[in-house]
Amino acid sequence: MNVKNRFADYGAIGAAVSMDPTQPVYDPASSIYGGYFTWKQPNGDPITQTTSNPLALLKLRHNTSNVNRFLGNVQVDYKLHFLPDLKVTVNAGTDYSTSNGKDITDTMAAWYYTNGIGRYGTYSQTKKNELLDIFGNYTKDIASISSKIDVTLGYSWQHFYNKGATLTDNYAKEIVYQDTKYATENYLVSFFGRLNYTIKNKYLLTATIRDDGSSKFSSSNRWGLFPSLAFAWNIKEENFLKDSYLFDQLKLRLGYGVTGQQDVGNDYPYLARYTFGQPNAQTQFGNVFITTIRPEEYDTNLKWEQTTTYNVGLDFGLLKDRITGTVEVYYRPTKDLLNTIDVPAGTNLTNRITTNVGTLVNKGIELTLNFKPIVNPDFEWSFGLNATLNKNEITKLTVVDSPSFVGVETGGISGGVGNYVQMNSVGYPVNSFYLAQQVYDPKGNPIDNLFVDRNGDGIVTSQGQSDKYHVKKPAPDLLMGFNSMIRYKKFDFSFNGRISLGNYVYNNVASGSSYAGLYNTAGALNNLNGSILSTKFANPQYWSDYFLENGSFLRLDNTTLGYNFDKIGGGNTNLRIYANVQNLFIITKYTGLDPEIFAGIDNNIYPRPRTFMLGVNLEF
Amino acid sequence: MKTKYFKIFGTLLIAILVAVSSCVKDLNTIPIDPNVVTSATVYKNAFAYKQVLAKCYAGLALSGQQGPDGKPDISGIDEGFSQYLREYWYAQELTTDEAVIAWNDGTLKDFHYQTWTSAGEFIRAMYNRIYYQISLCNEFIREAQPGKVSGRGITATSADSVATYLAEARFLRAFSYWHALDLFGNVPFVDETNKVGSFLPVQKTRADLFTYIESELLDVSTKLKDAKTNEYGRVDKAAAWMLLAKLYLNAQVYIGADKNTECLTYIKQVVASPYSIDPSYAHLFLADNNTSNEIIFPITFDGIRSKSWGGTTFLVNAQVGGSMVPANFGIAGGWSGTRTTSAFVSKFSDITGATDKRAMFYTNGQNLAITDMFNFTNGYALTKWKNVTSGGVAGSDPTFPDTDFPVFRLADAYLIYAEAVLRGGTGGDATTALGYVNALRARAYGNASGNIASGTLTLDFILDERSRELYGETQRRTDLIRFGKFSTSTYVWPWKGGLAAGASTDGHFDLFPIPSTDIGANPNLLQNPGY
Repeated sequence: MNVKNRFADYGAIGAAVSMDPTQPVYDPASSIYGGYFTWKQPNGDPITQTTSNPLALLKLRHNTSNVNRFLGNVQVDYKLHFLPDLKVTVNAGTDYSTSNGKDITDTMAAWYYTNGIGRYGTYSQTKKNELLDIFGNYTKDIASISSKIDVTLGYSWQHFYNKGATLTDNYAKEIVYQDTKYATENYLVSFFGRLNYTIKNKYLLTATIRDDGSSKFSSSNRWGLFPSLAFAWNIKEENFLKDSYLFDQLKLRLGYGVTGQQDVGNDYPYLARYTFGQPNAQTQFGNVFITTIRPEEYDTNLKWEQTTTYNVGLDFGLLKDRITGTVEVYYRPTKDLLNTIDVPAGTNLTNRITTNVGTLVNKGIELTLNFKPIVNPDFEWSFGLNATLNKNEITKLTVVDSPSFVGVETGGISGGVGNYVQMNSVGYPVNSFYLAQQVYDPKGNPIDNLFVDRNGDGIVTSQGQSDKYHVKKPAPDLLMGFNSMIRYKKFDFSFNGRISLGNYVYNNVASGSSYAGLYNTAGALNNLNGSILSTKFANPQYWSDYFLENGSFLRLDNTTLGYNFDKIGGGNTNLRIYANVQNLFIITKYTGLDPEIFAGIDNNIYPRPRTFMLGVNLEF
Repeated sequence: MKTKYFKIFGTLLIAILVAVSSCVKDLNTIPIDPNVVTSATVYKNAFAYKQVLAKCYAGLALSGQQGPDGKPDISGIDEGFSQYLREYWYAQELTTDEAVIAWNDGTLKDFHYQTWTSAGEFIRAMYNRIYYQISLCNEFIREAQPGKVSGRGITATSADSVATYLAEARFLRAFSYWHALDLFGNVPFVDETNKVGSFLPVQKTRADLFTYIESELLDVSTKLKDAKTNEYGRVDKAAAWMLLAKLYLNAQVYIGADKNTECLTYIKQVVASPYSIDPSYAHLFLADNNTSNEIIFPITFDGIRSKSWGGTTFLVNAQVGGSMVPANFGIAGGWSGTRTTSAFVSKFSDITGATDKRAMFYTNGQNLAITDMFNFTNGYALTKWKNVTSGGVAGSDPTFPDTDFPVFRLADAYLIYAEAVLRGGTGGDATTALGYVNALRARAYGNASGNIASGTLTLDFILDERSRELYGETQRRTDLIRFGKFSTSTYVWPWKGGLAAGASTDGHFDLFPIPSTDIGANPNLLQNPGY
C-alpha cells in the first residue's frame, strides 16, 4: 500500500483566527516576504513574536510524505486426527510501514527571515507491529451428564517497534537546527486459558485466567494474573417459561473479572536510563563543548493497573423478539491507577512522573432496547435505543492521606505558560474542573477579576487563585444512542445519533480573549474572540467559571435515504442508489464550535465537517 | 499411523515451546535508541562522568536535552519559562524596584505586585527547577563515590579528575540549596543517600539547612581546583569562598545571627585570588564576556551549541522593544518585556551614561512613569545585556546569544567586603573597603571624579551602589531583604503592592511559599507563615 500525503501547516487556522482582519492578504510593501502582508519592524524586518500571514503559512511551506505499508496475516488451523475435538490455531500478523518526508519552507517566509532563512527538513519513520497467537481449543459434548465443555489454552505475543529520524537545516543547508534519531519498542506476552461449561443448555459457566507480561515493567512486577468468572442462567429453558408466549429469550448473567492496563507513554519507565543531549544543548567547558548525559526519571516499582468488574445483567426478548433488550448494572473499582502526579520534590529525576497511585470507582447502568413495531414484506420499521448512566469517583489519590492535599492538577490549557483548569481530588469525578466562581453585575455581565471568596478567608484573590472550587466534569452523566430504520417498498430511510447529558466543556477558545491580547507591544494588532464583547476583560481570566459551559448535546451522526431498483437489465444485477448525510445537525446550548470534546477543554477552531454523499451500489 | 501424528504433534509442541520461551525473554528488552544507555553501562570512563557533570551545569543554563526546547527536564510549565536562570531572575528581579515585565502570562504580574500565592505556576517552576538540580547532583554524587569509580576500572589519574567533578557537583548542589534557603526557607531535604524513588523527604529548618550548606562548602572548598585554574565554565575554590561569603553576609536573615567576620575571612580569599576587575564594565554583559577576568562563576550560553529560551536569550530579547533597534543588540527582534521603575532610575544622578557608564537606560519613546505595567513604553528600558562582542560583531545566532551570565564576579566581592566591614565584621578595614568601592566607581566613571569620601560610605550607600553595579544580576531581592526593605512599608516603589505609586506589603512575602503541589505530595511539609 502506498500513500502520498501533503500536510498543511495547521498553524494557519489559528493564524487566520487571530490575524488582524483589517489588513490585506497581499501587500506590495511585503514583496520580499512573497508579497504576503507581514507585520514589520521600523527597519523592515518582520516582527518575530506575532501572528503570521495564514495564507503565507499555507503557500510557503511544503510538507509532503510518502508512506509504504504492508499488512500481512497468516492463520493455520490444525485438527488432530487422533483427537478431532482438539483444534490448534496459529495466527501470525504484521503491520509494517515506512514513511519518508520533506518539510520545506521557502526563503521568502517572514517567520524565518531573520532566523536562518527558510527551512529544509527531512524525516523518516519505520513502524512495525507484529503479532503471534497460538492456541488450542477442545470441545466435547458429554451427553451422559447433558454437559458441554469448551476449553481454550493459548499464548499471545505482540511486538511494537518504532524508529525515526528528523533533520532540519535552513533552506541553504548551512545551519543544522535539529538532528534527532530515535528508536523504541515494547513487548506484550500473555498466557491464557478459558473454560466454558454448559449444563442442559441452561446453566453456563465461564472461567478465564490470563497471565500478562509487559516489557514496560521490571521483572519482579512484570506479570499480572487476571482471572474472571461468569455465570449465566438461561431462564427461558426452564420448564415454567419454555412455553411462554411473552418471552422468547430470558437470561440472567452474573460476572466478576479483573483486567490490567499497562499504557504508559514511555517504553522503559521502570529502568534507570541515561540520555545523550543534542548538539544544540551542550555545555561549554573551557573552549570545548561537551555532549551532556541526562539521567532519566524512573519508577522501579511500576506495575499493572487493575480494574475489577462486578456485573449483573438480564437479556430478554419479548413478543416474538419484537422487543429485545439488555439491562446491566456494574460496579467497577480500579486500583494502582497509572497516574501522572507531582513527585515529592527531590525524590526523582523530574517533577512529574507516571506511577501507580490511587483508586477510583465507576458504577452505572446500561440499557439496550430494540423495537420492531412493523414487520411486513412491504413495510418495515425498527428502532433502537441504548443508554449508559455512569458515575465516577476518585476514592484515593496519594500514598499517604493528608488533609491539606487538594489534589493533582490536570487539564493544561492553551494560554499562559503552565495553567491547569482541572483537579483530580478524592471524592470528586476524574478531571473535575477546578475554577473560580465568577461574580456578575446586576445586568448579568461578568465583572473583571472579581470572584467569590469561596474559602471564606475574607481575601478575594486576583484571578481567584486561592478561591477555586470543584465544579462539574467533562464526562457525561448519561450517554444515549438511538437509531431507526424504515423501509417502505423500495425506499429505505435510516438514521442514528447520540445524546450526551451533563458533560461540561471549558471554552478555551473564548477564555484566552482579553483586551490585553488586542495589541502586541512589538507593534502588531490581533483579532479577538467574540466573547470579549460580553466579558470586556482587560486581562485573561483563565479560571473564571464563566467559561465553563454545559456541553450537553443531541447529534444526528448519520442519515441515509435509499431506493432499491432490485434486478435491473433482467439479470442478477442489483442496483441501489442512496443519499447520505453525516453530522446533519447538533442541538446544544454550547457557544463554541462543538461540545463533543473528549477531555472537556475546547481549543478547537476547526469545525467538524458535514458530509453529503450520493452513492450507487451495484451487486452482481 | 498414530505414531506419525504423535510425531507431528510432538514436533509442533516443541516448536511452540521454543517459540514461547524465547518470546518471554523478549520482555527483558533494553533501550534500542542510540541516544539512550542504561545506568549499568553509562559510567565506563572518566569522560562519561564529565558528560554527566556537564548536565549538572547545563541544569542552570538549558531546559532539556534539545536546544532550545523539545526534550524538557521538568514539565507542567512552558519549557522556555521553566529554565533555571529565567525563573531565578523572575524571583530575584521582578519582585523588586529593578524590573517590571510587560507580559501578563498567568500569575507573572504577582511577582512585582508581591501578591503571589502557593498556587503560582512560576514559583512552582522555580522550586521544581531547584529540586531537579539537587536530584541531578545527588545522582551524580552517588555514582561518583570513590568506591564506585574504582570498581568501574577507572585509572587512578582519571579517578582524580572524577574526584574534582564530585566536588563540583557538591558545590552545585549547595548552590541550589542556597537558593532554596534564600527563597523558600524551610524546605525538604534529600541527598545522595536517598535513592531515586518514592519516599517522603523530611523538612529541614532554615537554620539546619544553613549549617548543612556551610559544612558542604567548607569541605568542597578544599577539594575544588585552585582559583582560576579550572576550565572556563567550571567552578573553583573562589566560587566556594564566594558562596560562603554570601551565606555569612545574609546570616542574620537566615539564622538570626551575625557572621560578618566569617564573611570577611572568605571574601578576602576571593579578592586575593587571580581574578581581576575588568577594565570595561560593559564587556561583562557582551557576547565575548567569556574573556573577562572578573567572572568567577558563569552560566554559559552559545548561539549554536547551548540554546534555551531562558538565560541570556531571555535577558537580551525581553529587554528590547519600543523604538529600540534589535540589530544593536545582535538579535532579530525583541520580545518587548522588561523595563525598570523610576525608583531604580533615581539611584543615578546622571542617567545619560556620560558620567557613570553603568547608567544604561533607553529613554527614547519611553516614559519614566509606569501607568500601565503591560505597556512596554511605560518605564525606562535597559540596555545592559547584548549579543554583540566588544568589537561590535553580532553573536553567532540572531535569537540565541553567545553572552554568558556572571553568577559571581569580583566586583560583587568588593562590595561584600565593604558591607561586611560596615556591618562590624573583623578582619577587614574601612580604608580597604573605601578603596574597593572607589575602584568600581573609577571604572564606572573612567576616572576618579565619581570617587566617594569615607564619610559617604554607609550601609545605605552600599545598598544603592550594589544596585547601580549589579542591577539585573539576580542580587536585588536578597539585598533588599538583608536591608529590611523588601516587603512592608520601609521602602516602596512603583507597582509594589499592585498600585502605581507603590504600596506596603505584608512581611511574610520575604519568603516564597512552598508550592501547593509539594505540600500536597509530601505531608511532611509545613507551609511558610502567612500563606
